[in-house]
Amino acid sequence: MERRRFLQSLAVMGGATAFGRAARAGENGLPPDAVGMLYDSTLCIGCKACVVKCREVNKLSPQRTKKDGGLHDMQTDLDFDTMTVIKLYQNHEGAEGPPTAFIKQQCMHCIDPACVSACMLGALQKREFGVVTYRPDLCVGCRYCQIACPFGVPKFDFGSATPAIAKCEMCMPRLKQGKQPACTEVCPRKAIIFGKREALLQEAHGRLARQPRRYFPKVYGEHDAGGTQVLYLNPAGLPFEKVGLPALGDQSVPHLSNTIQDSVYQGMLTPAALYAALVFVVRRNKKNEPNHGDANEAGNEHQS
Amino acid sequence: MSTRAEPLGGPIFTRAFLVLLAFGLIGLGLIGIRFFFGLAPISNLSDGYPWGIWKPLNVVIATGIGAGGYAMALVVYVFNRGKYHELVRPALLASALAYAIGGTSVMVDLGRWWNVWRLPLVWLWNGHSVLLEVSICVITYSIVLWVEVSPAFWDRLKGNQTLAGRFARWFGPRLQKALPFVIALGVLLPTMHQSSLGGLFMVSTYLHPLWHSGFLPLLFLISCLVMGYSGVVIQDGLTRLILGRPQENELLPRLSRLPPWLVLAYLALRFGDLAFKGRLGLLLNTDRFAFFFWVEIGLALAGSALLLGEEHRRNPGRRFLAAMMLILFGALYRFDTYLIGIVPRGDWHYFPSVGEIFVSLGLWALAGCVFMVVVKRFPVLAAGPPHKRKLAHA
Repeated sequence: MERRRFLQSLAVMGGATAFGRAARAGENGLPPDAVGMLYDSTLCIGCKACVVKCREVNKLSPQRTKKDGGLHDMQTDLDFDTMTVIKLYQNHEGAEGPPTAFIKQQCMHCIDPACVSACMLGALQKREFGVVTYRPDLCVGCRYCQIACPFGVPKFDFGSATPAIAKCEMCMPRLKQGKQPACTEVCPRKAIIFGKREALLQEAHGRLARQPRRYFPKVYGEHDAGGTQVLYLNPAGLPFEKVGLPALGDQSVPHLSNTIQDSVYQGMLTPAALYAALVFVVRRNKKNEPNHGDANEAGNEHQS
Repeated sequence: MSTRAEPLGGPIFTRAFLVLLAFGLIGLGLIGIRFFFGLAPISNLSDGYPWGIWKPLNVVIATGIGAGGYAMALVVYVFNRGKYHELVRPALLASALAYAIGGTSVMVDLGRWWNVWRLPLVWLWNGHSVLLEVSICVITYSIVLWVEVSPAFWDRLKGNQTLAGRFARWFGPRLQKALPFVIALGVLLPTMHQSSLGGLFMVSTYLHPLWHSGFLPLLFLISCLVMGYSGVVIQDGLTRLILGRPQENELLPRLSRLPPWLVLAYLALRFGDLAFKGRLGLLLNTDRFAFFFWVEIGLALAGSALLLGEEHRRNPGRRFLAAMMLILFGALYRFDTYLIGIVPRGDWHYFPSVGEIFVSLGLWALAGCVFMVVVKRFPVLAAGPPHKRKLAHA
């Protein structure tokens, strides 16, 4: 009986710790100092100054294109050396909206991030300013964050013996020095700007109100996937799905998983109760089982 | 019928053993490359398909088949059908090896494997991470499985005058007393992680709506019981075929009543869920998703239908065929959830590389080697007629 109580208390301890951690992470409500970025596609000229500065600040190697013998840094998508990228949307279908538009991609810094919910040891965590940060020393390289992130943001170096996850951390070291992220600082058109999320949201709605014919009538990230700290404005007639920002609904992506996981495992009470019941049943059944008087039997019976 | 287990005897280095060993060594060589040069040289893994065939094949399908140990423990010790004892030890050994395949495969797959030692540090645990639940549970269960198998080793060693023998004489009886606690863990842990293996994909937005569901944990639990049963039938059938023993025809027919009920529950959940969400229309499409869905359902129905009727359940050939179909059903359901039903956004394609296939083959082959050695040297299989012993040379 001692052993059982010991195992139970161990299980409860483990569950309580895990629960405490989850509670700190918070399901809704950002810290008051939550920051964000606002990208206005109508202002972006595709100069990629943000991409270059991001490389420089985060010490990432250029992705040289093979087409011209490695002369140009020409990344086409986020990868383990590219934490932000500018993509070109082209209206091939002759659909409504502009013939071309630029779109900047980087981590969206979700209010309730799927990657943080997925990450086993909290290598990915929401920290100061609500920024989703990465700690390589707590990462085992399982890549579950890549399965979880609906925006395809975390990237992994498959060609390295010592790989890591790469994703935008909104230049966290710079934020702590009171500076702004590299990309917002360097943008010549102020197409990507930095600020408190609340202020940026107001600014975005202000632009929509002032120039309703210029914009697609929605601020992406205000409610999408439970809300993100990076917000987007698109030119009129260009829905966000067409530029790689999926329609995810207003519920956070990990909501279903978190709810089920919490209801089954909170405090480890359900597993502990189930275990106690199983021990009871197994002990009773083993006591009643027919004894063949030979410890060498196939079913592990033993005369006790 | 005897319920005694005894070593099979016979030489270790048979032709079958050497073939398996060769595959194993090829796999180990490829794994060596991975640890020096990363995953890219031997795999087709990418940011769009960060999990390839290793997870579904070596972890999710292997442990599903390995749920034989779970299914047997459940039937024998929880539902108190003590009669099934003679199947328990081989099923547990196969389970322990299946979980070893999964564990090894994960270690090869993990990019930053040197941080794995932090997994047991409770204060780091993220309570929301389904994968963490799977990891901790699978690690613990692997230990539990070897403890459950270990009486076979203590029985063999306890006659020796060596240190190991003395330990066996001291530990064996103590283990017997503690066994109910171990067995209860052996039932609890698979219930937790086999369901969580499905739960992993609740958070993913890349899983096709035919598979994405809040019922994933329950459906994976049911599929693991179906696969566990089938694993026991196939393993027992093959062993007896190779050893030239008459097919067991008392315990397995009774066990065979269960799978059709499990399949019925599975189908009710699956179709009920799709209907509730208004997704039944997807089943009429002519894409790969609808195709594989219907193959799943077809295998489940055909396998179950073969087991309807007492005389059919007593027919070893028919039972074996049913088990094959049901194991394929479970494997396909898991493969669909982990790979075929995954639709990454963007221009990503995946087909397993030769390296990925041979690493998998190698791991399964090595598990086969260990199984052969253990059953020949330790009391795992039920004792058979002595004159058939010469067939153990196979």
